[in-house]
Amino acid sequence: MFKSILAPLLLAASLGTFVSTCAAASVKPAVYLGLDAEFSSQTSTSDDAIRAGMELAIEEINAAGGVLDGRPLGLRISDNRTLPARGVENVRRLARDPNLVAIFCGKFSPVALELLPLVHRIGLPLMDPWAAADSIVDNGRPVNYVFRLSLRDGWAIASMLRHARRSGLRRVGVLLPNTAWGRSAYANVRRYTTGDAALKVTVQWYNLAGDVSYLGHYQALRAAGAQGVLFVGNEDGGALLIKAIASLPVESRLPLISHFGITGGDIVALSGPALLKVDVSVVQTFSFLKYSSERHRRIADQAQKRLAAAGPGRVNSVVGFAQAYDLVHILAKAIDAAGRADRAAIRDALERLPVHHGLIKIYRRPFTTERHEALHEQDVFIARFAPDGTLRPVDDMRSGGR
Amino acid sequence: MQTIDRVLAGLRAWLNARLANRVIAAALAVNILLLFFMGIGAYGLTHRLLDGYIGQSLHAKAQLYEEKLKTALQGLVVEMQGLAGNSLLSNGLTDDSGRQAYLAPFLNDYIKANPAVRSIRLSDYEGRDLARAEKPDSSAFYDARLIRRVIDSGKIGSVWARGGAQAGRLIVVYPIHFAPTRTVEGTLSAEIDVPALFRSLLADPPRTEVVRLVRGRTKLLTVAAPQAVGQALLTTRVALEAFAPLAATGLEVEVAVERDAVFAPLFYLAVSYLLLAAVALLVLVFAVRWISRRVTEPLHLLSQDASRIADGEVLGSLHVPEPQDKGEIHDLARALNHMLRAMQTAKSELERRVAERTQELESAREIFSGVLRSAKDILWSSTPDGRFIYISPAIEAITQRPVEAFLAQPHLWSSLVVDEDKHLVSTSAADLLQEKSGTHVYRIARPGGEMRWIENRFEVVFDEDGRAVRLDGIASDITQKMAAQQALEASEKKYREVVDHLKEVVFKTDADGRWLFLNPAWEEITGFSLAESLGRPFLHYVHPDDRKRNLEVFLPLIEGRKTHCRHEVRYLKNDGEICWIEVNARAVHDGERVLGTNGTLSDISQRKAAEAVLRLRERAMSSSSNGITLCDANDPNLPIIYVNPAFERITGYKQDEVLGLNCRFLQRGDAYQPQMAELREALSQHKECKVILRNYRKDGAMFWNELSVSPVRDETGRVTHFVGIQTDITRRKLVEAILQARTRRLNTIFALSPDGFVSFDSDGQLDYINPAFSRMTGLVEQDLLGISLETFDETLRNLCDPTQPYASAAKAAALAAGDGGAAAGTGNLQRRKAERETLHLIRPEHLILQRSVRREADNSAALIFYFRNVTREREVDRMKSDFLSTAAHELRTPMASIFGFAELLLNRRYDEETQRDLLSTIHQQAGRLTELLNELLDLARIEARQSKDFDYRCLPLSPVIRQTLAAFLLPAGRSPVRLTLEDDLPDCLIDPAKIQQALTNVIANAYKFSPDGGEVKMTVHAETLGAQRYVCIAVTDCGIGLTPDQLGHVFERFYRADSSGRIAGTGLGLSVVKEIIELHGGFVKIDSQYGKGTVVALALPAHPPAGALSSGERASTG
Repeated sequence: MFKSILAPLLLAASLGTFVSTCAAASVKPAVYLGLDAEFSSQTSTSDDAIRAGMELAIEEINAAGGVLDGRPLGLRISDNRTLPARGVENVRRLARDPNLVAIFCGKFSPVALELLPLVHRIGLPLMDPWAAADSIVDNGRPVNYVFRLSLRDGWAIASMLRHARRSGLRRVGVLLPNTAWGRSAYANVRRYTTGDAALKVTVQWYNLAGDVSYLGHYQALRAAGAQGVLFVGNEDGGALLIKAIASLPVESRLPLISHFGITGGDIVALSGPALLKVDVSVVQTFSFLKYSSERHRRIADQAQKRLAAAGPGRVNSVVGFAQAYDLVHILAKAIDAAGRADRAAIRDALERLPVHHGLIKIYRRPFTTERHEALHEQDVFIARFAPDGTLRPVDDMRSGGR
Repeated sequence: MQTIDRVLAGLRAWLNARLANRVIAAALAVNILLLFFMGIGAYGLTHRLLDGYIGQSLHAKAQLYEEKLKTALQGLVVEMQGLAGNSLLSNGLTDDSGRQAYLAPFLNDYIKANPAVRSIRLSDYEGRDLARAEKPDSSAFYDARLIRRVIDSGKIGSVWARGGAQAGRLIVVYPIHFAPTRTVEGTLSAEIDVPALFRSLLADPPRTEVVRLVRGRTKLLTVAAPQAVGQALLTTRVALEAFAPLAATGLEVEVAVERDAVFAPLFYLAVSYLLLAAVALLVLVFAVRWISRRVTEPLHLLSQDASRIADGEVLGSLHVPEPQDKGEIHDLARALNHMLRAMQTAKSELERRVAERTQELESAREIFSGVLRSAKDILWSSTPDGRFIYISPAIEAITQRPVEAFLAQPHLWSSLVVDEDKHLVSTSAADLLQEKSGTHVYRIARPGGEMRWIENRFEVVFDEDGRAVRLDGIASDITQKMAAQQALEASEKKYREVVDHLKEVVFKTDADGRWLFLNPAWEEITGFSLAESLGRPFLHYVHPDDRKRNLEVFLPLIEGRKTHCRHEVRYLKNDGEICWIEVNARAVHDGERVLGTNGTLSDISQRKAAEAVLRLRERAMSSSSNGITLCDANDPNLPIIYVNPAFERITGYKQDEVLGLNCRFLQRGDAYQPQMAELREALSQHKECKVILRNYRKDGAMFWNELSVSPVRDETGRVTHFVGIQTDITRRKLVEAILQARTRRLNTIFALSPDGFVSFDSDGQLDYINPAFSRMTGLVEQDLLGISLETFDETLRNLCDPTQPYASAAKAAALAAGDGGAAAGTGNLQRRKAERETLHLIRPEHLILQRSVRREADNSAALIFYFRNVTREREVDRMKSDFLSTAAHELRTPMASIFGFAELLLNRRYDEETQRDLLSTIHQQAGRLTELLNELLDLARIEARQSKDFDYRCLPLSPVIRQTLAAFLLPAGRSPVRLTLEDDLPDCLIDPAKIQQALTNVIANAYKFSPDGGEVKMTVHAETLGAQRYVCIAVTDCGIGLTPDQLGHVFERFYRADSSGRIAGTGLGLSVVKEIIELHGGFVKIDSQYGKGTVVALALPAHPPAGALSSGERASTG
């Protein structure tokens, strides 16, 4: 309900931004970016974070003169309610506007996966600031229109398993959603544990939408002898799982290592006091707490203001904000490099961009013909929640430097 | 024809011959008609009763079938509703690529288990098929508009499939509520073969009747007894009652029987009736003939006597002979004789009364003539044209002319009127008639020239048609009265001229105190007009507070105890002001009694005002709570020349002790006070000054004295005196100290409070927020201090969920102001609670806050907002509602069956076999309901008490298990549980009764879910898991087992692995087991293979429990 009302308001707000930008530019038509995300979701904050990151980047670009010699950038929004069928329909509708040069997806991998046939048929760049399924980028198309600046499930699973091994776990239970995302993660679990006699894995599947208790899944993993639980899922499932674990006696609570999907919502509020009772580690790609430059401080202030956060470490879905911010700046450079608002030319330009000084890191070449992932496995790290809800990187757990 | 004529003529002759013959003929005719209509009526009634009975019987059967069908259909529809809520379907909506792998098998399994369900299909938000399962004869019917409607409305919809073969297929479409967005994102359509469902309910084929299932004109199903086919039928239909969640289905159940078989007995009944009627008529003819002849004979005689009376025989001589036999004829003759005698008596009485009335009239006439003769006034009556008809004798005394002269001369009276008054008299008859009634006063002249004043009153008399028939009047001689009146008027005129010019009010009252007279000075003083005041009681104008005192003075005058009085009272003025009046009053006598009072009223308001000011000043000085001293400035020592009583109270010194002293004696040895210099400086420069000094009472106690000193100057400006005002502020100083301490304490309380507080000062600016409010909202004090209420509103609104209504703080404050205003003026801090508002925060975290506002009544702009975090309470409420709705859903199905079948039994009669069938259904459903409630109560009790009522004891488990098995009631034909107990089992800390309850549930499930038999085994052994040693009880069956999906739900309340309904149960048993075992610090594990069997293992921690059962830990597991 909240999201369904909010979405048109956001759309109106972004149109308002567009109108004022147009007035300044007076004549030149805007170049549009689309964002199709789960705005109706009751618990998701990643959609707001991605939007805020995009809007900040767009404001900066427009303040610096826009793209293509003064054309302003604008944002168009649609709500997929987490459903692939709605996502496809939304993108088909948005793409009718020739001034729309790229579409950004939200955090739901099943939606992004279902968009693949459409974006390749109509030749529309699909910019991925969150969805982590490997097959979104590894889609087998000879001309790939997908560009991701986010985590991959492969890196996430590898990082989670590495963390489990370092924590001394010998038997882990993996809780996976019964969707394309879960199957992508499952393939990676198999890949990274096959032949490893020191780490036994038990897999339990759950339904992504509708399961109201995760206690049964958790107890099944415990009964199978799991010493820790790896969780692939989003904030709603994550909160239910954390509450289920916290409801058990202390000796029955296993450590939880989670995919960054649980930070796609306000997991601190959703879990409540239960979060403090469970040992939760979560995969991340970005935290304001790792940087101290003036630019990072300024952008952190903006992020806190736009997302009503109590501190730089309390910005919900901060990875979505940072990844969307960097991706918009990279895309704007590609538009200028292409020299026209032509989707295919922009796609080609994205593969040829030079070095970019981003918020997350300095991208030597963000994308190449062979590589459509802007981040690397070394960018992934593990974070934990402090008692005040701040998400802090665990330095000694970092899998690699920047 | 001739024969007929002859017979008719003979009949007529027979009828005319005697009255008795006519009676016989009439009785015969009446009875034939009566028997005919009775026969027709009885036949119709019997036919109708038989028809009704058969109809009722058929209706009862139809209702029975209808109830069975309704129960089965509702059960199926509700079960499918549960399927639509299955999380696997919601998951399928998000899983485009993988859902076919699991949805199709899941749906196929479902329709295989439900023969009446022909197909199921899952559609997305646009109605596109996502998955389906169907049987070969499925209708493949698809209604896109219905699916659209269900998605838009979120409510279940249904439609009937079209087409001959599939006409009985009901398509029910269920919305799928998608949990992440709480919107409808898909539908589940189920095709139910209603005829097949109905046929499955007709376990035995009907013996004599035809049973049909009909919708509109379409026969969906016919099941008939072989001999009933092709016959004319009696039919009844019962419409299938609408039931939740579906609207009316339009289905009807029809039951029919063969018509001929039902009505054959009625024909034989009609023939028997005709024969009996013929015999009855024959007997009647003979009886009536004999009776009529006996009855009509005396009537003939009586008719002869009646003819004589009619012929005019004289009343006195008439007497009708009365027959000897009693009876109607005898009574008739007697009544006739009574009537004749009564007529004679009435005639005599009438003649006597006429004579009496004539005599009374004569006597009245004589009395009236005497009165007229003695009257002094003239009574007269004349015709409309002026001729006297009657004049009383008094005219002779008044006019000194004879009566006869006036009767003879019509204009004599008018000629007597003096010329000056002739215009006062209407002389012409027409004028008088015009006036209708009136009074004329004029003078007439007597023969000697003497004038007499006459008052002539008259009235015109009209007949019924409105014509004037005469004039009646009375003329009186008023000469003496007129002379007295003129004398009085002259005297009053003189008196008034004097009185009207007095400044004092001259008054006169009656004995009741009403103004009878007031002079114009009254108007000048009070402003009330004379016209409105006269006649009203004087007390009305006296100030309400003085009325009692005034009465105490007035009453002795009226009662004659005093002759005069003088007093001062307040009178009310017309402009609302008050004036002081000095009253001088004197009683007025008539010799015997007091008639009233008279006297004067003088306005003394100015004098009174001056007196009041003086008194007020004097009283103010002496009653002031501040000490006042007056010092003589002419003396360099400034001696005290006056102190007021308050000074005495404050210092303890009496006036005599301090007069002549300088005020410094109050300081005793404490003379070196900083403010003393300031005081001395002011005194030397003759300026005003205010200082606070430590002074000492007579008893030596110190007090804080706030001293104000002012110089008093004479007309030349020279200072003659100093006035000192002393205020004892010791208490104020103390209160200030207490207040500061309390403020410090309150600040600490607010800082520690878990609830948020925000306050606004009287200028409407935020002046305080406490830390709890900062924690709730993430807002810090520095950012908020000084902001207005509107800005605060805007800041809060930005933190709130925009989809939820936001209750404005400013509005709440305005509401609180309205409340506070009503209670203003009490002087205390009024805190009124404004209506509680709820805020849904989304930033910095999702919180639900309840906000109240209070306002200080004596400072209407200052506000305090109070915020309470009710997030957890709301969450608990929501969980409670969810549970209640599930529980109610589960209770509804058995309750609907019990209600429906009980209603049938109440309203209909069934044969014993059907009754037993219905009662066994009710019994079975009531049993299910009881079981459900018992288990719910168990669960509630266990949860509510959190094991506090558990009686934990350290016991070996073996005896408990053996007792449980011994007490378990084995199902018929099943072999007992095979128990394997390990030796040397450790003891456990358990409540044996609760463990027995849990074990009984598990064993009962093992038997129930192995309906095809097979052994149930129980093994008990000890096992170490981690650091804890457990005793494990494993119960194994070879039953139907569970699928992995079912396994995931077995501990959910109301979840039942068996969806066919063949296995009884509530879906709560395992929840109870789990609660009990977990409250013992153990756990439950279930392992199962579909189709092969299930193992339920209960693990209980061995004693000592390594802290697992410490009370703190048990509480934390709840």
